[in-house]
Amino acid sequence: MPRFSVISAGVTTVMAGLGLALIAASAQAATPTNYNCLTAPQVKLVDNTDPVFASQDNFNCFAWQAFINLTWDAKPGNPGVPDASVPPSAYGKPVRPEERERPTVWETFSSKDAVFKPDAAPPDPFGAPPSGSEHCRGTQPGEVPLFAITKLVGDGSKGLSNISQAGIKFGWVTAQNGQPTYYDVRLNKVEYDYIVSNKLYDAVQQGKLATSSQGLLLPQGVVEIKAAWLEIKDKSLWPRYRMIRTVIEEEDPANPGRPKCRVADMGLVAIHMIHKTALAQQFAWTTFEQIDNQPTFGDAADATRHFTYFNPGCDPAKDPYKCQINAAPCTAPNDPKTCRPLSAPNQVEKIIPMPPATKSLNDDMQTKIKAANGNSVYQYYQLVDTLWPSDNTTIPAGARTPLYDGNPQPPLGQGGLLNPLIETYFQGGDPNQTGGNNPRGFLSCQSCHVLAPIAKQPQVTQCTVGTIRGQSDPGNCASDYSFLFSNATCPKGTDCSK
Amino acid sequence: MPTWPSFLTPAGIVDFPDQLDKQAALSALWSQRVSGFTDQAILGGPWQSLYSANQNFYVNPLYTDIPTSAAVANIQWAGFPRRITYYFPNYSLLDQRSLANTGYKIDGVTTFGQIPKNTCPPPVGDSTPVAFGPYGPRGWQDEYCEWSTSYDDLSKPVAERKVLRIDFVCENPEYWNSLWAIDPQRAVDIYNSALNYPDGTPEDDKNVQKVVTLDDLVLKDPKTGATVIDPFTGGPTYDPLNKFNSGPEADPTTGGAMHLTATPNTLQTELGLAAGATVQRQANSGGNNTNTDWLICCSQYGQLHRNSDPHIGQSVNLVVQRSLKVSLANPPGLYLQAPVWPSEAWVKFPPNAPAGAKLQDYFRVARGTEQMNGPDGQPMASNFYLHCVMEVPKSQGFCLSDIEIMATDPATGFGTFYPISGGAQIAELLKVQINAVAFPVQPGPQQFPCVTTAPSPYPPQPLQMLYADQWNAANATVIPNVVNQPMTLASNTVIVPPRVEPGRSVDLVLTFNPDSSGSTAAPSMAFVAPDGTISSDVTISNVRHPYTVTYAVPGNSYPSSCSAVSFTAQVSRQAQPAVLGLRLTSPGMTADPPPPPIPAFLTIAPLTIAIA
Repeated sequence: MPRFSVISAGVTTVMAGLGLALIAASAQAATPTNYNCLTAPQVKLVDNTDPVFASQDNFNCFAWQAFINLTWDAKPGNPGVPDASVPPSAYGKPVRPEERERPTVWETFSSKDAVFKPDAAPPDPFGAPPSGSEHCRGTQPGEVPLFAITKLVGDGSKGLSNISQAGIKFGWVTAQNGQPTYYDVRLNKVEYDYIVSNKLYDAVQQGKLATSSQGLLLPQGVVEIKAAWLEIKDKSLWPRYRMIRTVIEEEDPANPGRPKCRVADMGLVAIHMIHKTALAQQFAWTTFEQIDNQPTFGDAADATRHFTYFNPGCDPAKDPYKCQINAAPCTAPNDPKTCRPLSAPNQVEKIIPMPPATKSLNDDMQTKIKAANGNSVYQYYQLVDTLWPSDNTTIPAGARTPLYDGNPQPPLGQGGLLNPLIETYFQGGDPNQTGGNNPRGFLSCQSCHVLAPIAKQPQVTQCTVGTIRGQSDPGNCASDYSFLFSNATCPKGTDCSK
Repeated sequence: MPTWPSFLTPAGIVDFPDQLDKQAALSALWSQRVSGFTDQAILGGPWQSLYSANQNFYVNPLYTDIPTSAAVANIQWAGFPRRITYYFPNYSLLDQRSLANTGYKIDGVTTFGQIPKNTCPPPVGDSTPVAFGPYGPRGWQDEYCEWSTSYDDLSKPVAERKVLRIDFVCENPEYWNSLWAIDPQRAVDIYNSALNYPDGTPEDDKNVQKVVTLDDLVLKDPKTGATVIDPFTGGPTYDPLNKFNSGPEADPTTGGAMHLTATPNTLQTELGLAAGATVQRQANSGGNNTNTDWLICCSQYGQLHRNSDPHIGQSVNLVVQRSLKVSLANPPGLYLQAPVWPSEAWVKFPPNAPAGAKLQDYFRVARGTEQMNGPDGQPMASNFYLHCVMEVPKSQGFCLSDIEIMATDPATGFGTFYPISGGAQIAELLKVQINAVAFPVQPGPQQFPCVTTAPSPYPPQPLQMLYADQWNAANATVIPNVVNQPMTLASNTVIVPPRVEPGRSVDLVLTFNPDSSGSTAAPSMAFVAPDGTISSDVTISNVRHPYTVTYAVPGNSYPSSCSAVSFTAQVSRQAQPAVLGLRLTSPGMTADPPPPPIPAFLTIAPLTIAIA
């Protein structure tokens, strides 16, 4: 270890008369552990349209307040609206999933599948309960899905969208209990209304709007959600999770092509909540996780801790992944024959360490939640971090991809932002392990979302407005950083392949 | 707590722990100067512009109550010069880093490309190509964070050198001017300690050893080679671009970083920016304050596309929008923050590194302190580092360039390990921070249109005033720079009021922008007492004919033309200590009302600390 020591200012006595006292410098340089927000988040419903100003701490406080607002119980019959009559003492009350307590605010948002339907059919009403698939419609009373039915069907080439992570084929992540993680994408009423009023569930209309003088530009107030759920059979763990009961379609090896349908009790393990605001026109990318998910790479091992996605006693001789950290399921990304079994647990670690100020905010919020309701499940969640644009920039109509990224913070050099359970493999792994096809590198939300295009069109459709210096030629029309729009379909009979 | 008794030195640093009289003199001088900067910032630019004056939602805490309940807002940005990545997005990562480290691409030959002269309003206001700046030995490091990389052998191509040490600084040049004014030898001592090693460091841990002498740091007249004497102290004048505080590269005999040198990297500018950003702009001027580009162009402060200026300005503006008045928290300054280090998975050490070695093991604080308390007596969420060093103790048998940090290879999109080749890789992680105090007031701020040129006639605008010998030497000292633009040391002087003892006279040079008539005659000058009356203690004589000069007025990023006039100021024997403003009116004209004086342009003070 180095033998240099820090030169301390050591000036307390001289300064004492000047009204401000110094704290003596400590022996090692360290970032302040205290966070600083001009408006601290509270465990109650608070108007939260934007941070006070753009800084990491203020965006993190905005993220926590948004989390609380969105995980508040929804008002019955009013999807997307919190129930103000629910007191803080009931916030995050643990429920048995079969009790079918009312959903939280974000859980009543529309699923992407209810908005972007085949043949450009109009969306279901906002927040309408999912109708289920042809295989799972006939659920028994008490098994009606609270959420869109998740699927695990097919041969790996299709139908895996609900367990596969974005940007990687066969990118599932399996917990130590042998269950895969399911992903659920939703959007709020502001975005729903924008899509419906502009008929953007129809790919053709997207092309028209994106190339018009109005442009495809989402309004402020848009919220998109991506939640990660895990089936948890061990009931002793339920008080630590937001639990729901849902229905899962699974491939039935005995009846190919006829998936079976079963009830599953799911715990929320991670959630992205992204917000378009006046100060975040490149979006505020907030992401949370359940605290038991995984350890952080480099942290001292704690044999007493149970992790949902990490086995401290992993035996490379027995493990299909050979205990490689964050190793993707398939050694050859496009060859399903190289995939490890779906039931084989992944060995997940968080690669990007949590900044000290974020840790401090999490500690504070967990304490506040516990004070409001000692049983609240949300005391077991934490903010991973928030990615925000330090050069917040209005995107003009007709913009092409890639869009300007707004100089996102935290910077890529620090690691950007990834949720270990939603972008597991983009994190990279242990440089001392051979990671197969493990793509190590600096990637963050905006590394991909600047490329988000409108849906495929009947004819080649390009946009001409560059938002990056030197970007003068036409390119794909941008969809304002949202990949949701590429889910739109074309009216029956229209070939949309360009 | 009502008003503050004084502005503390940056990070509350005490550079004379053993000489309390000198520390008291330095503390007083510093506080007086920061108070002057603050008053100048509040006044803004009332002479030749509209809607940028009397920025009174920025306050001077020496005479404005700051409640103990005042909130502290931390404004933070990355130290890597973002204009490099903004203007040259197609350069490779290694070229961008190399430009930040050395001013040249990795070929060691190609420097910055040209950029549009002015990007207000965005995307291009005036596309005339100009050389990328700011100009100066490391002028492009313009995020209030500069660094110098010490190599084993500067004669080798960069790619073949070993990186032994990197010094990161955010100390403002005004403080060093003040420290020098109290005791030049102490400044030399601090150079020697900060650029070398903490006491007790074993000899076999030292990579680079510098020997700094007084002669290395003094300003010399380039024509005669003679030391320029400070007429107030009688001692030598400080050269802010001396050989140990100049350029991005160093070895034991030359180069180094002790304080900021890029022309916009001054504390006075920082305060001016913060005050200018308090002004709320009318949305019907074509934008709103959530748009950093629009706001910076509308309010005309700072440079677009930096990490710092647009972000600082917008943050301040948004805070004030909530009916809060602001000032920089005590002590006002720019502070480096301990980096949020990347994952250990992304750092590779050589095999001979100690087990469990981490990047942070090789980062230390040479000047500054860990934490200080805010108005409420609680620690502020800020480090107060002024000078940080990265270095591997020599006895460990490897050096910084043997450590590799991952970054995305743009060619493959995959992570690749790159050896540390200079400070840029750390500057990407290193944040600079200012801390503002904010407290509520009623009524809230008014809204104004965007800043625009005042209608004629408008008066001359004072810019800077220095001792004549200092100005003449600085203005004749050519400063080389990678883009070969004409620059002189005058751009690296500081805007602080010259000091004159009662009963003494002093030759001064004033730079100014001429009035709307473009008159080439000298403006009428009058020193103004704190009560607003013309001071009878100062007599002006020997006013020469102005001449045109081109330089970056300290705080500006680029050089521009203005006028300079030399004259003599005689201070009466009976004069009491005071900080005077300077009022300029058009030659031979009497304006009614007279133009406001610029505060804090001349100090009448007895000499209390003599410099031998």
